[in-house]
Amino acid sequence: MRMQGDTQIRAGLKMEMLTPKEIKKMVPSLDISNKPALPVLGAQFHPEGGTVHHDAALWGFAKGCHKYGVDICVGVEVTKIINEHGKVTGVETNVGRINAQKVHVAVGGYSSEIARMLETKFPVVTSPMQVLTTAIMEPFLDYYVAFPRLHFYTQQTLKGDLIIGAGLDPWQSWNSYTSWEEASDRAFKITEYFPDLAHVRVVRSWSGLCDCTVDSAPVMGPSGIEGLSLDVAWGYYGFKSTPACGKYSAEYIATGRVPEKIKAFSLDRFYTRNLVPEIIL
Amino acid sequence: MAFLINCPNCGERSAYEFKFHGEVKSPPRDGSEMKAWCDYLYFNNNLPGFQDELWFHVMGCGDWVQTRRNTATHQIIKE
Repeated sequence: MRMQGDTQIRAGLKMEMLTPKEIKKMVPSLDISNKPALPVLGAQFHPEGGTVHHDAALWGFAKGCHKYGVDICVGVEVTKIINEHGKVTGVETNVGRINAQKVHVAVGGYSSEIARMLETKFPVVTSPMQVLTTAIMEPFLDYYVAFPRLHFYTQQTLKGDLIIGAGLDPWQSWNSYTSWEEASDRAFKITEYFPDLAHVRVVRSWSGLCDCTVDSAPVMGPSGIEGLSLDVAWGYYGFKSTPACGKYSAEYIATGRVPEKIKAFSLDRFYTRNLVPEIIL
Repeated sequence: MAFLINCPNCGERSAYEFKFHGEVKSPPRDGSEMKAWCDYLYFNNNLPGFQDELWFHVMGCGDWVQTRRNTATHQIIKE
């Protein structure tokens, strides 16, 4: 944990190590005793961090797009990527052809469908990540709490329910299902550390398709085909990465130069075998 | 939506007893270029439909099982 913390500090993040007693002051509902099978030994606290409501973030981006004259064509399906003489010149859609100098791929878990349109493959396997929410409660949890080694995290939303995530069944699937095994695994873990929640009901669960690489890192930048750029293989990292994706993808699309920050995520790392060595989550 | 995998030694068992290896791929011939080996290792068809895939019965007999499974419906073809 200290090594991870050092990495974060070197990357310019503020990070503090907390003792169990310090954590307990911030998260009173957490059990820091020796009762859990794996007792809490410490925590990293990122004071500048926070949570954002996903709908609000999405509509914020949509408003920004509208302001800058970007058309969002809802219900328009790309059926073909027009690849003429090794250069992408547009897309075919269910409402006709759209010519474009540059086409950018950012389709989440469905990236292999785009690969098929290009008669190629991506280095990903698709699998659904599952999350659940509980009944609404009085506000009691002020922080987003994560147990990375146990693959679970929780936060209390403005509505008062807890979002508890997240897990993937250990196989490829294109079905957005949720499984009892995954839900019960997280229910067990949350009640280990938040015993007062034992009687709280699960209200809803859902999942989203994630395209995962072997090194748990995305593929950004050149595709090897002129006029086509990639922002795929983000796996289960979620929408928190989207501002950075947008910024660095835009820089690459506009200048043709791969920004330093995303060079490690090149597609050709799977051929040069420079896989990203550190798994973040 | 868990599903059962028919292990030839142990019978129909929960998929959670197995480790998913991935879609069946043909390895390149000996002496092939490194690019072919990287393609084989890292790049997948990743189909939303029927595919041949390998599972290792890690919580069972330790044997390998091949299935033909629809990754969108989890239906397994019985052979």
